[in-house]
Amino acid sequence: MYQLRGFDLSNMSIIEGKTGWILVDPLTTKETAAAAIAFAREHLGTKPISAIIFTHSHIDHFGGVLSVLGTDQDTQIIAPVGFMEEATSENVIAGTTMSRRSMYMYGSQLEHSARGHVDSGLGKGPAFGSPGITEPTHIIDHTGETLTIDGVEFVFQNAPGSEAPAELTFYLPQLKAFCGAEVVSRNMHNLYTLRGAKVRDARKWSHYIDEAINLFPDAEVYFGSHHWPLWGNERIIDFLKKQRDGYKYIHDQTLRLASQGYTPREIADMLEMPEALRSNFSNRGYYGTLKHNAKAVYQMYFGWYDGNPANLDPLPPEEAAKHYVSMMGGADAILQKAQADFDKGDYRWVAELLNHLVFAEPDNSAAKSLLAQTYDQLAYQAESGPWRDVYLTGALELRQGAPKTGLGIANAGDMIDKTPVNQFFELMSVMLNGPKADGKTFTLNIEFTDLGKTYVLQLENAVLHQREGEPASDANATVRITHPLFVKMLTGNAGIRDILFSDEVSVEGSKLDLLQFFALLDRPNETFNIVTP
Amino acid sequence: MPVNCPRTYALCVALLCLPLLACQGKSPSDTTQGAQGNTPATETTIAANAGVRESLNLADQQDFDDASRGLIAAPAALIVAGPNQSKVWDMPSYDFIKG
Repeated sequence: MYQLRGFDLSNMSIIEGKTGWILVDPLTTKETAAAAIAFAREHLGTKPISAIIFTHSHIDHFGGVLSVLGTDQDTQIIAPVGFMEEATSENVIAGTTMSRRSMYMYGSQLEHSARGHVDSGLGKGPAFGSPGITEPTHIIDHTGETLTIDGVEFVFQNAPGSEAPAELTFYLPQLKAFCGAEVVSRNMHNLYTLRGAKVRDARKWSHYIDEAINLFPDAEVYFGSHHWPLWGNERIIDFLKKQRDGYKYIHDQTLRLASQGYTPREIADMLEMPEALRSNFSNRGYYGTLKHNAKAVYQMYFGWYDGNPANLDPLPPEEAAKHYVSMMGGADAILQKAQADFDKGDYRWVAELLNHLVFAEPDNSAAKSLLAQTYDQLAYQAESGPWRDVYLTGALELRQGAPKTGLGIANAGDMIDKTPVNQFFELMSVMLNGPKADGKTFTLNIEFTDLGKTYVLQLENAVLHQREGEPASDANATVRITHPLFVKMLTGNAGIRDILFSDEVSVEGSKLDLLQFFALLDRPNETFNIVTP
Repeated sequence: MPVNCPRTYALCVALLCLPLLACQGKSPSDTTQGAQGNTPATETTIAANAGVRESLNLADQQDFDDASRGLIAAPAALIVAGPNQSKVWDMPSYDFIKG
């Protein structure tokens, strides 16, 4: 068994089979996967790829597959149940918002330096290149499934809804080796990820780790999708138990404190891990943190509202900020107080205070400068890579403004073509500008000439619905288009008008109506402001 | 491979990736700014980080041993080029991290 580490955010592992290599997790991009496999061949010789395993539906575990797949049609590709749907759909309708927030979480605009980006906690950082995907040939849908792949015996654990919605782990009895995928890692993972995502279920996650301990008690080597391996049964069991208990402790203690009436911000400040976990490096918050994970548990059970009526319907940030600034005696008085508190090192408070001033007076450069300095200190004190990058990116954008370009989903390349087309109708629904669409009705047939499928879109009550089936006879217009072109029209840089009226598309019905309909869709803003209003 | 002797070999670049305590700013007397304008760590920050350092058993180097165990090879300076002169991956940019 071999492992390629440091070629990407994630690891690529190689298991020697009878005739070739079984690859586990072919990295994020074609570029990094190609570099890694070339390096492996340089040092280990060239062997055919007999199988590929995608441990889960996150892109850093399958995106480079097209570089390693080659032309052999017989390569087995194994993935957990739900893989394809989760891998292609996770980020479509919420994609722009998540991408913009990812720029903070991963510090994509930051220089790599002692005062800049240092690490992400899972690896050095995401690889921004060309991702791809391919359909699995075999789906693991239950725990205990065994397979012999190229002469190597595998026992799988199906772990959906752990670290990812579709995820598996496996054990190799002949080697006594346990691959924990990303269900376990050498730090505290995220119950909530700061780019924004649905929260993960800590109780279920912890249960899967407990199950793995019981399923594979004889492991002599552990390896994972990130970080480095462990050797020796005793150490492996200790590691797994502490991973299991880290998540369960946060879960249980958050609910205990909530049952005493404490609310998320209070719980996050009160909680401390028990000594055995606190001092253990593989439980430290290098990626996730105890604080934001405790809030995630609260969110899982109780949602955004903490129960205090003052927080039920507070003023939006700018309006509240203007009141605060006026009440506190204006900008100069606030800056003076903020500087004094900064000098005392009370950075969390200074950030809260100056955030009000910046939201009330976004052109106040003294306020932005001191807030940026405050974020610098919060960044340097953060153990979590994402926390550091969030603060440093906030500081950067206070100093330089929001970026010129985003990381929009148009950059997802080959991935987009594999995304089910109904996802893009869902995307259209969330692009619809409700107030502009108010009072309008419209029916549109979209016939995909390459898929042989027709969808009917219907606008009423400022809501856009979709259904697959027979074209509507009373449609305002019918568009005949290919799937890739349709996707390009929605997500690419070319204008909708240019594509609709190109030779590759045929339109029946009123072109004017059609244009007016598409004009109701808001293009997402990939570079929206975050640290300023 | 014998059943009782599982081995994992590594071909790796980054041995460890803890965004750890070795990367704080300089002393407060350092008033220079990073290229992106970041200011140095203050006394408060330095003291806070020293507190974390003292709370941990940094003499325990097990993770470093595990990360380098079985190492076969590592590229000297791994840069992976992407489209339009971009860099998809740039390990030398992390050379500032020492020890």
